Amino acid sequence: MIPSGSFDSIIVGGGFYGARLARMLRERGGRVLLVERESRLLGRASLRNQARVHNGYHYPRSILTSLRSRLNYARFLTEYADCVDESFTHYYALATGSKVTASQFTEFCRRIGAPLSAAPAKVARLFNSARIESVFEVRECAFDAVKLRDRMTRELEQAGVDVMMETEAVRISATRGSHTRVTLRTAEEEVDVDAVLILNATYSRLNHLLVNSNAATIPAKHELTEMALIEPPPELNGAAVTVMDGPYFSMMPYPSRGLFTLSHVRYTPHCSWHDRPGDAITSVDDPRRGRTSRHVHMVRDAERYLPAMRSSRYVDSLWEVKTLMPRSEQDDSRPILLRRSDEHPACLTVLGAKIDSVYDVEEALAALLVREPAVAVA
Amino acid sequence: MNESLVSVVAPLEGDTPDVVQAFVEETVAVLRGVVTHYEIILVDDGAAEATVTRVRALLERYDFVRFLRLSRHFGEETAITAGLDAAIGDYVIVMLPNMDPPTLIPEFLERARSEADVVYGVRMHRKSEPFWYRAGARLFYWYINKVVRAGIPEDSTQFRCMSRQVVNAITQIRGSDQYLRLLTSYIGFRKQGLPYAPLNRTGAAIVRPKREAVHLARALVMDHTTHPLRTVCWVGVVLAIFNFIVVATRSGGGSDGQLHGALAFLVIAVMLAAIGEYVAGIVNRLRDRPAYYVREEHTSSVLLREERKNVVGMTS
Repeated sequence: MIPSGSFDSIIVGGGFYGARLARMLRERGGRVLLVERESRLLGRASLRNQARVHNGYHYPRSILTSLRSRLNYARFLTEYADCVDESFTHYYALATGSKVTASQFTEFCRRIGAPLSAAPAKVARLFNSARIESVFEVRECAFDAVKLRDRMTRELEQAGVDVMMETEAVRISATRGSHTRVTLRTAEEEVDVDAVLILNATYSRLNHLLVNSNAATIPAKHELTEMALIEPPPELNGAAVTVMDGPYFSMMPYPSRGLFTLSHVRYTPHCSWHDRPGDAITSVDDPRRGRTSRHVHMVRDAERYLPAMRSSRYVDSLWEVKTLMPRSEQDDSRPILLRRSDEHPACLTVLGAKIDSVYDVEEALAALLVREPAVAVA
Repeated sequence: MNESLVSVVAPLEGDTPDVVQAFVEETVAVLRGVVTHYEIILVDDGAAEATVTRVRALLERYDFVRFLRLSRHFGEETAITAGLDAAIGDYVIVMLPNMDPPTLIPEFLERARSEADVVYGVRMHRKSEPFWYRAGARLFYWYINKVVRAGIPEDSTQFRCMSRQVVNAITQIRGSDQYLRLLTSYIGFRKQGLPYAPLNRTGAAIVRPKREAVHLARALVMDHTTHPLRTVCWVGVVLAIFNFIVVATRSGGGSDGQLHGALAFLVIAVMLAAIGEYVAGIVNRLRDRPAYYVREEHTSSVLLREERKNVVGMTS
C-alpha cells in the first residue's frame, strides 16, 4: 500500500545516497517518502562494488580531489565505524612505466598527508620486480555493505521516513501550485502522489525517470562491470593489493561475503554506452544475463605482476551497471552531480562516483535548498 | 575444452579491412571450439584508417578482442614483441592475418600442450614467390644454418605457438631488434615444426619488398653472430701477410703495384663496412630506448542484442 496524499520530498532510489538524503530531508521537517525498485535497500550499486572507502591515494594527479577524499574518509570512518573493516593491511604497488613514479607518489602522499611507508621486504618480494617498481603500505579500509544496509534501514525507521520497497517512480507530470505529481508503480497498482521536491537518486537509471517524464536527459556514460569475488592467495595473509597505474587492478576485502573483490581496469568493464540528450536510452535490467565471466583474464594478468595470484580461488562475480559522471559536471575537488530538471523544476538529480562523496552531495543540496527556497521543504 | 587461456597475437600493417575481419571471425570461431578462455590481440603497426575503423567495429561485435595501437609503424617484429608483452595467455599464438590459417590453431595448441614448448609453422612451398626471392632465401638459409649454425629452421614463418614459459623467456630479452625466429632458437626449449600451406587472403603477392627482405636477412645475421666481422678481419690479415711477402720478395713497382693497391683498398673497405654495421648495432643498443610506444589500447565492448532494447520517452 502506498501512503497517499502529498509529501514534502520524495526520494527515488534507496541506495546509500538516497537513504542518507532522505534522512537529511526528514530532519529538516515534513513528510518524506523513499521509493526503491528492489526488495531491499542498498541492494544494487551500493552493494555490488569494491566497498572501498577512498583515502586519496587514487588521484595522484589531482591534489584537490585527494584532499577532499581524505576529509570524507575521516568523516565516513568516524560516522560508520561499526560498518567498516579496518583490520587488513593495504599495499599499493606502482608498475614500472606508470605515469606516476615512486618518488612522485611519495611526495604526493606527503603533501596530502596520507600515511605511506615502504612495504616489508617479504611482501615486496611477492611482486615481480621486472614489472613492479615499488610497493607501499597505506591506510585504506573497506565498508561492509550489509551492515551499512541494516544501519540505514534502522535509521530511516527511527527518523520516520516512509519507505516503499518494490516501488518504481515511473514519471513526473503536471505541477499544481507548489506540488508536482509523481506516478508510482508497484506490482499491483499505479498511484499518483504529490511532492514539493523530487530527488532522483537512481544512479544508473537516472535517465529512465527523466526520459519517461519528457525531460532532458543527462549525458551520462554507463559501464556494465564485473568484479570477481575470490578467496585471496594465502601468501598475502589477508592484505589488500592495488596495482597502479598502467595495469591497474585491485584486490580488497569484501566484508559482507567474507571474500575479496578483484577488479581490473581492462576486464571489469564489459561494455559501455552513452545516454545522449535527444536519443533513446539503453536499459540493462540484468547485467549478468548472457555474459561470460572474465575472471580468468583478470587473474592471469594479475599473475604477471603478483605471481601468488595463481593460488587465488574464484567463487563468484558481482555484476552491476556503473554510471560515470558527465565530464562537464565535474570540478576537480567534487566529482558529484546535482542538477535541476528544466522541464520539472521540482526534480533534482544527484549522482556521485564514490560512497564517501555523499557528504559533498549533502553539502551541495543543503546549499541549494537555502539558495532557492522555492523547493525548500514547506 | 581446456581451462588454459590462449592468446592470439596478430600484427596489422598492410592488411585490408576485409582480411582483418575474416581473420578475426575465423579465429573466434575456431577458438570457441577448443578453449574456454581466449583473447585476440591486434597490434596496429601503421594500418590504414579503414582497417582501424573496421577493427573498432569488430570490438563491438566480438568479446575478448584487444586492439593495441602503436605510435607509428615499427615493423612486424616489433609489433609482435608489443603483442607478446601484452599477452596474458598460458599459450600465445602469433599469426599474420593475411597468410596464417586459423583452422590450424587446434593442431598448434595440441602439439604445444603435449610435445613441444614452441611449435612453429613451416611454409610447405614457396612456388608463388619470384625466382630472385627464392634464390635469396636459399642463400640466406645456407649461410645462417650451415656457416654460422644459427639453427633457424628453413622456411619457418612467424606462425607459432609458445608456452607461457617460452613467452616469459623471450620477453625478458631486450634489444633494439626483436627477431622472434632468432630468439626462439636462442632460448632453447623443445621445438617442433609444423608444415602448412599459407593462405593468401588478398590474392596479391605476399613477398616482402626487396629492400625489406635484404634488411631482414642482414639484421638476422648481424643480430645473431659476429661471424661476418671475424671473417673479413681474417681475410684482411691473410691478404696483408700475402702482400708483405710479395712486396718483400720483389723489387720494383709497375702495374702490379697498382693492382696490389686496389686489392688492399677493396679488402679494407669491406672490413670497414662490416665493422660499421656492428658499430651501428652497438650504437643502437647503447641508446637503450623503448622498442615501441603504445598510443592507445581498446578492448571489446559488446552490447548484447537483448540489452539494446531502448527505453523511449512515453508521452504522459
